[in-house]
Amino acid sequence: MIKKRNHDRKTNSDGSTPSIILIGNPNVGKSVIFGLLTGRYVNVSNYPGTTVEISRGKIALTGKIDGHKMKEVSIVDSPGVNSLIPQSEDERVTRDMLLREKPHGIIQVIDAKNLKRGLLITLQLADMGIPFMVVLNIYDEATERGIEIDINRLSSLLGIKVIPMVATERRGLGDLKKGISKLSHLQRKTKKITKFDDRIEDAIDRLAPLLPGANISGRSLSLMLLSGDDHLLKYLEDHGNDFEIDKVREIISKTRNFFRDPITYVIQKGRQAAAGDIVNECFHYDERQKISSVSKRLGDLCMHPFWGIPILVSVLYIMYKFVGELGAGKAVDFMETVIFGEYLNPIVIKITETIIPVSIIREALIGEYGMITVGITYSVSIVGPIVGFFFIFFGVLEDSGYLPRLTIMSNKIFKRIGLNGRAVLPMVLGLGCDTMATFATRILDTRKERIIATLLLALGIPCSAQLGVVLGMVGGLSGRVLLIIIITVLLQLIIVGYLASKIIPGRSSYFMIELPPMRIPKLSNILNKTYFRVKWFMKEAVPLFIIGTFILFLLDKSGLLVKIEHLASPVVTGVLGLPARATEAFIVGFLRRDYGAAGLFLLAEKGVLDLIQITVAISVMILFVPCIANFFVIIKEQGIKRAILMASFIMFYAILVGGALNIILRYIHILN
Amino acid sequence: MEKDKKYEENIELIGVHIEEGRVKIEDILDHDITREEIISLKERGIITIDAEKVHLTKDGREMYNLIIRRHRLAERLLNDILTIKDESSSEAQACEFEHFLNTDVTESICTLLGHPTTCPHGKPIPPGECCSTKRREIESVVYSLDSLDSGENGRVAYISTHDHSILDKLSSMGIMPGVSIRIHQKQPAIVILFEETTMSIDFEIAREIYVRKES
Repeated sequence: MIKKRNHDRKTNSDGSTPSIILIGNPNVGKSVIFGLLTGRYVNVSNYPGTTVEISRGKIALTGKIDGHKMKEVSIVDSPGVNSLIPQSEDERVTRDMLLREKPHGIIQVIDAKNLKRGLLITLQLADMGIPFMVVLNIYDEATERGIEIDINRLSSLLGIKVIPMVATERRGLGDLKKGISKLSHLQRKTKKITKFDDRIEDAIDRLAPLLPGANISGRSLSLMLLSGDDHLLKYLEDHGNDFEIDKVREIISKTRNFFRDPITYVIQKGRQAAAGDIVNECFHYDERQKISSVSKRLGDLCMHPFWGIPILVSVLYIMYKFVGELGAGKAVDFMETVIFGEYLNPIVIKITETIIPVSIIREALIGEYGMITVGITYSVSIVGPIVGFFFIFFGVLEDSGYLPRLTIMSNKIFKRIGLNGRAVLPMVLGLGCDTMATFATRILDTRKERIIATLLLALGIPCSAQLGVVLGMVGGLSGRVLLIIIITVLLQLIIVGYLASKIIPGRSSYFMIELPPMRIPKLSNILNKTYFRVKWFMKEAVPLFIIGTFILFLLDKSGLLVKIEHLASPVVTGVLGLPARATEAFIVGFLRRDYGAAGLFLLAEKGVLDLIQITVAISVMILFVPCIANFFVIIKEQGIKRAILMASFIMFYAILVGGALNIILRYIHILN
Repeated sequence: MEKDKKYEENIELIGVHIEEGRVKIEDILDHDITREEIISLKERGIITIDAEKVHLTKDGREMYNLIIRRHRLAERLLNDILTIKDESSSEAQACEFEHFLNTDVTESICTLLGHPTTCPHGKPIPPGECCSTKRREIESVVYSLDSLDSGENGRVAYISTHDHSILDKLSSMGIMPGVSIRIHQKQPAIVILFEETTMSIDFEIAREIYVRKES
């Protein structure tokens, strides 16, 4: 159904395939347009040396246009940026792509209603000299708001092709394709639309001749250098012969010192003025049409200080129903017991038993801790459906515009623990799968924030697999037990988060997020996104689960598992007041947190545990060291040293809290 | 009067040097100050000298804060309200200004300007009493964005931030002097509307955007 195709990672300029880069502000529908152009033939990868993901694909343009025979064009989707002067990793990647990938052309996507902000990038592209065109996307929303844009005027002011589009409805796609085929035949030409302050123009005139030839015009490179882009300076030094870096540095510093404002601000002011002039000429806004639409009212309610809370609770409840009950319950059941339990595993076991004579290898594959019967089965049949259902839900939240509003509702709480509202994204993801969520901490801006979020995820965010078992186990017992567990865990998140924010050096970033209007999500877009995300997750996580199982197998076979149990059981019985048999549940819980919970469940069913013991055991289980796959991801993202430090802290802290909880509960007689 | 002026200027000179981390006497002597004057400051308990390094005493620190606060507020006034852009003349004016501003006038200017936290060069303005109490006896001309109520509009007068990355982020989003911003809500986070954009920003950032109110 879905074909895989291998593509060259590099889109080279001298090859036969012209390459085109999609550029635009965040939330303008670039990815939708990319999807429309390329279909499923996409290759998602990290940009070399970064955590930023970019997608590459190809389109075949058929037929003849203007006498040119059409051929394949390769398209690269870049991360959304507000400026081409790098301030964030995303922006640096986009700038690097323009510099290094040597594109034949650029398609800039602009949210039509936010024309002015888009123009700030358009003006930067015009300075670069690479042929480009502009797509005014989400044109319908602009029209609804009473905005009229004189496309022809805009096109002639900028000297490029401008195409109105509604990508989600495929409107304008034909024009875009025609435009692309013409784009690859255009010549490079710098369009000097912005007139900067004389001092800056003067500096550009003096800098440009000193710079080595690059894919970007000297004017544009000079502006970037003036803005303090030191990465670029290094790049130019490496790529130019006789590059007079000292002379360049001198011009830069002299020009910068002249202004009392930061020079980036002066340059941006110049562009703002130029963009303002263009907008005044071709952007008409009819105030009367500004109606309070349903979408706007809903959007307001979602971030209302009062109504936002019941909405938030409902969203979480629906998520629990959809991901927890449907995904983690029904879908997992079906995958695990029917697909794997009845069909796949029996076959695999049979095959393995016939072709592999050595029993130890057989056991490693299909035994109690077998890589196939446990490792693969677990990751595909349990984590797979949960992650899939979760991503569908997450996609709906994303595309509907609710997600950024959720960050507003939670900003205050997260500020207390050294994070900001954006951290709600990995935290919510963590309720699906902590392993996946730990990857998602990348969206946080500073190192400090990523460490705190990773720590808190590992400490106190129960994944859906675990939540299911815990809720099932506690639900039948007593509301109080559940309440105490929830309070205990939340309290630890706040305490540890607060302390971590004080102790961990570095700074937290400021909260600044754009709120796109609420929209009705397109199912096809969500399914498409979910497909790529699940594929990515499986590629990253399945090997980790297999390695994890194998390690457990080794521990078991070598007898170390029993030894660890012996070592740990005094702590479990003495400090936590639990029966020695609970030790095994904790250790196995390291492989699968829900297995651990299920192990406790069995003990409780046999009547070995009283209410206090259940409460303590589950609290510790939730707080305890994350599953082994999560631990591997922490190593991958944070390095082995920090990962071990975190794991040791969590282990110690979980036992400490469990011990304290045990003493308190015995003392205050709430449960006995 | 003339003597007092020189005395204040000397404190300011030393304070600025210390602020910039140049604390050696020889660094300071390069400027318009004599060794005798430094000694006399020491005798008056404004500074201590320890191994050729100068430190402000507690009293000295207080004096310096008052003086530099007046100076930098004067700069803000000249730069943002009277829009005198010529660096040398506004600097000289500010120097004159700082000496005849008494506490009440200083506080009025501070309030008028919406209690700014940095001077146009991005150096900190030490807060005065008016900044903490936020008394509203005098109507401001310029307000920090976070002091506007929900539903109020303001046109950006200037953005005063020590952090260039915030300035760059704001300007690439299109928040620049001259742009009209409406406060949509303030709880649980500030949400602002400008042009066709809705955005949420931290109080700390809103605090650094200064606007003139609009009806």
